[in-house]
Amino acid sequence: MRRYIIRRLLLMIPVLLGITVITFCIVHLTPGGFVRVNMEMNTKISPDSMQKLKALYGLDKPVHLQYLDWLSRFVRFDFGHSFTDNRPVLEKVLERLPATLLLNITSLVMIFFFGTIIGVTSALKRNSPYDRIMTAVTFVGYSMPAFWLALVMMMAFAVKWPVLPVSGMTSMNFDMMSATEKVWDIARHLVMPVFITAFGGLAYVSRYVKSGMVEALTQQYTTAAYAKGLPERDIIFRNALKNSLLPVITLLGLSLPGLIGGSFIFETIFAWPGMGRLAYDAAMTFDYPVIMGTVTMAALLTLTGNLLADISYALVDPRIRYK
Amino acid sequence: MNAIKVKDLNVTYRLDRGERLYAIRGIDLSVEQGESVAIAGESGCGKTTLAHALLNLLARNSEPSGSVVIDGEEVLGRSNRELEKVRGVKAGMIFQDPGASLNPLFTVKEQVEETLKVHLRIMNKDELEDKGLKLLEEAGIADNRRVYGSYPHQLSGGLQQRVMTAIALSCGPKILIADEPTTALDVTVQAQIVSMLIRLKRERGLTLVLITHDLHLACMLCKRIIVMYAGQIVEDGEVNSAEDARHPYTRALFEIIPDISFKKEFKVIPGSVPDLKKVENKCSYCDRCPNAAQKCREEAPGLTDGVRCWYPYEVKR
Repeated sequence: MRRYIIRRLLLMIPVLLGITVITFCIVHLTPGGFVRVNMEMNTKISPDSMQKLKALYGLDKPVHLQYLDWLSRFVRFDFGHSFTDNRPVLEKVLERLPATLLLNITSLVMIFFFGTIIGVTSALKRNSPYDRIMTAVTFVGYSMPAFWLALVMMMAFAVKWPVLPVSGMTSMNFDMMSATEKVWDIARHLVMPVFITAFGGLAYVSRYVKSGMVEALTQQYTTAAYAKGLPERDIIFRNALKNSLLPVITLLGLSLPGLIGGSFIFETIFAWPGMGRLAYDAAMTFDYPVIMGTVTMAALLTLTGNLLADISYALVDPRIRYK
Repeated sequence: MNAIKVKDLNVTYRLDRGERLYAIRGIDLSVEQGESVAIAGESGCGKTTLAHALLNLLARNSEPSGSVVIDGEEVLGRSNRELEKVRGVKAGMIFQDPGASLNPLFTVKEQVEETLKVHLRIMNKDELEDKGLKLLEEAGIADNRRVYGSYPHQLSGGLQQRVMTAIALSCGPKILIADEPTTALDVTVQAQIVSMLIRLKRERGLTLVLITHDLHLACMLCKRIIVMYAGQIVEDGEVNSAEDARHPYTRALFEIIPDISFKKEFKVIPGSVPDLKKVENKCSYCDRCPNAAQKCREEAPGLTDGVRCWYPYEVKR
């Protein structure tokens, strides 16, 4: 097992390098470019100073040399400085990370908590009205355009009946609040974004859990467990549930990158100060170091998430032992 | 008192589009304490449904009626909660595919001990382990310590069936229902499992209900053979060879056992089990029976004197 993990970690290196090469090429081959987009429209800048500017940012060198520059800094965990405000990329990312993590972890917990409950109960009462209603509700959530639902909810709960704040993560007077008030304030701001992101993801998890549970309940080991005279509670929540949660581990592994990536649409609608907007703004201004920084971190997390899912598979299911 | 008493048992399955399948049709059966009974027949004749009905383990789409009494306790129409006192305590059960009847995600230890905790209320760790290891030893597992810590997939089919038997008998039931216990195993392992069952039957004075399609195995373990066809009992008695059989179906089942010397011609029963979705008033075997007469196609025979046939063979008993 340990050798397997070490091998997987080593294998992550070429994959990560590949991702950075491709991203770097795409970003630099995009028409426009940092200097042109930000300076060329300005008639006061002479071609000469444009050239100086390019040299200043290191953009006058060939692309492959620029990449090697970036790479040599990256292996020292130096993501460089933002072109737009000259602050370290790492600092900009770390400043946005908590907001994204807070929103996404909360909604992930909600998705997996309620998804599991809905999945298990639907499996136990399969083909009942309850099961059908839950299927309909989760599919409505899955197929409804989230940005539209977000706007409708904002209109309903922030404008018509103002019970929740419209957007943002904190109120205007946040700095003057006591600690408990601050927690309450953030919680109130979280309600709508979490509801909307969780509502859409519910269908996935509940379907997976339900089909896993239905399968587990129709297996012979479940009949055998009844034949042993075990209490039904033990059979469902110990014997069958563990089997039905196996596919959920894969889903959880696949959801990890979303934790850091953030969602540009939600963050824009709810004015949420997260990673999604940082990456979007960086892309619009050709802020190369920030783009590379956010992409690399998202890639790292995706790879780690996959590895974690594979490892936890082996921990839960004894039939899988990696060599 | 009878260990098992089944009265007028009917089981129908609800299928799609409102169809019904009459899997068990009016079975009466009583088994004495300590007796061994084999229930034999082809696939699809209702053997497994009967076995499952004995502990009320039927599928969700089934509708049982009648009465099944296990050691004085009515089983049908009872909730799972009420049945906890019967299942595993009064009667244990082992299944066809031992690999599929053990939960793949739990060790043998966990699966043995969970039953002990529920029924015998043993909570002490060491006591549980001692009892569990002893049970495996009784089921003929020599290296019980290794097996105890293993997961089911790490064990051979024979060991898995021994573990299943140990679990089924862990809380001291007097009845063992074995649903095709050796079908999924290879021949040498089959013999070992059979001798284990014979030994356990003797040591514990078990009442054994053996479900099988293998008449050879049935005769090894039981004197009394019950032959089922199309959801009904067609013959019930001490039958050990084709010459003892009074029903033509029983006789045919004995005759198709292949002879190891290959001197005998390899025989089959022509045709197949009838469609149980419709029930007609005629002998259900008449389409395949060599002796079928006009009466067989016009009226269904009843079970008289242990045989359900209008023209049974005469047998000297």
